[in-house]
Amino acid sequence: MLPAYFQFYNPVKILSGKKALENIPFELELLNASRPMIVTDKGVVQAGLVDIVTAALGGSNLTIGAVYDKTPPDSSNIVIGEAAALFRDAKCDSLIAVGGGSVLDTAKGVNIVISEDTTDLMKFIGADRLTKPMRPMIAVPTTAGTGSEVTLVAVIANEEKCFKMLFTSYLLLPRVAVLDPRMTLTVPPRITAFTAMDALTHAVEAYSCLQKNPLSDAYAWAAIDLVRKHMIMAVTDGKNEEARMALANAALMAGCAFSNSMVGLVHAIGHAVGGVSRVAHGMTMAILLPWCMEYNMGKCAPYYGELLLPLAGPDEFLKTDPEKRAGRSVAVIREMNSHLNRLAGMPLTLKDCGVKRESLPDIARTALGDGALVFNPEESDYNEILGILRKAY
Amino acid sequence: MSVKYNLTQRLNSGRMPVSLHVRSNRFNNEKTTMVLKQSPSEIKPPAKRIKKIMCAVLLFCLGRGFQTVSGMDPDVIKEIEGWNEGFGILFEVAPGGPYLQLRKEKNRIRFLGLSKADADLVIQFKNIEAAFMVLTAQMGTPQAFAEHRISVRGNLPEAMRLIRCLNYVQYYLFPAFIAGKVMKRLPPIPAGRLLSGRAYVYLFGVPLGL
Repeated sequence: MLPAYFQFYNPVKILSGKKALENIPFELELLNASRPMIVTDKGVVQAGLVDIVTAALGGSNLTIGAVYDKTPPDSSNIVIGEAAALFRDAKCDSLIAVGGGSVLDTAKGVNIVISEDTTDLMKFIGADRLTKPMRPMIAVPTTAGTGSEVTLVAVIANEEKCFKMLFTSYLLLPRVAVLDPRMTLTVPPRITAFTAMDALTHAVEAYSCLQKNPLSDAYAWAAIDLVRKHMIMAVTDGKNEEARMALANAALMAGCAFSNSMVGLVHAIGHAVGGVSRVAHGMTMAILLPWCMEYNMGKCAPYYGELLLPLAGPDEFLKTDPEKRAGRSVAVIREMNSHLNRLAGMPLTLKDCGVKRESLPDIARTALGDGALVFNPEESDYNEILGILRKAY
Repeated sequence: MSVKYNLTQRLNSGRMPVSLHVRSNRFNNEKTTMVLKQSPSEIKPPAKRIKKIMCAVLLFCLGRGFQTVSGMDPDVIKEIEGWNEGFGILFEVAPGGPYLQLRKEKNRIRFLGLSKADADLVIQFKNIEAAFMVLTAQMGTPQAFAEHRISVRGNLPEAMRLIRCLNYVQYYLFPAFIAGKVMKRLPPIPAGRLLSGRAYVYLFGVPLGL
């Protein structure tokens, strides 16, 4: 059924596949930029990925004005202040973000500071608060999960006030996203596993949350299909370029989907688990997804039933009674988690992730303040969220 | 639809405002008059003054209702404990109002009027139609957020707290068959408290600001 109203916006140019990085100079020239700053982190540098990007820019008229490689796992206003100062000192005119979600969020934060000419990010917290055109930004993801390369969101910690600042604006969307197989070949199996489940969660939530629409549904559906077909291969054979690219595209498509139809309860609780217990985002997504699907079953069963087709394939879909398909979808996701646990040691409970039982009330309280809760079709209060957390523990 | 341009030679010169009559709409017989300024090709869309006045009245009811419920319902009282004293909230209908100004004072939400002011949390309806739909309970606040009809300036956890409070306030203001259509789930208010609270809001809260 068509929603009464929806918006869909995805202006990001996508370069996907072999030697995609080599097209960056041409794209920057189109964007009237010639002196980019690379934003990345130490892990990406050590893996040699920045060297690959630098080499790919060879033979062009570009000058890399600066490289900021001190991005921590959780970006903050202090980090962004540092990186923005470097951008200004080096007289850069554009950004190339090479890394995972935190690096991409950092680059978006630097872009806010530079383009809005401000030192106070607090002024821009919330939805649609940015007004000035951003500097050209090119996103080169090195994990296949967050989809940040095509999302309008940036999450940045405020170190002085100890909370996470959320920015959403269409102006935050990168101008170009580059998916190159060389960027994800070295990701370890465990990280490959939970980032793929992160992408799957984005797609499932996008397909079932309040602003689902035919366009985001198409992206979500295709993303789930790619995850089902290629995730296990990417985990077991990391050098398989086809599987890697499939997951990178799945993460991107899931990002397009949820950037428009938003995510819900899984992300609200997952963000809180990450904030309180410092657990990797994708890991909590994989654990919480089936429990939250069960919680949402009253309102989302028809959507979950449809998703059995991309989740399990046509044979499984056809042999399952229509009224049992939603429940079977949840079971299939649990089976995926168990498989990834055997293959890559991905944890199956919050306890295995290192979450302490006594922190569950704190997590539930924090989740109540998460914006993603608005977009979940089912209402949830403190006790209900605590109940989900106890089950997932 | 036929359009009749009521123009004179003098108006055609572009020195005087002219009026454009749009008639014979197939779906209703409303006659809309729009004022053309300076150039005959320039059209100023209707001002929607009546809807703006209605929204201002509804914002007034919401503000007064919130003030009353914030001193009466234990769940709402618990929610607003999370805001610092002096925490300011502004509802704004873009562009140019109407507005609703609220502030936490002495552990209660105070209705400060329908004027614009700086606030810690600003909830902006992107247009008058969005505000009208939400304020007349044709659309729930979560759906309006999901459809990008509302933007938020401020800390998101505070906005979430406000949405939870608004669910309670709207349930006191609207009967269950209306509130149930726009809320994911009705707040768990005991029937006795709901009836007495609703009577108090209707009789004293909204009219007298108690």
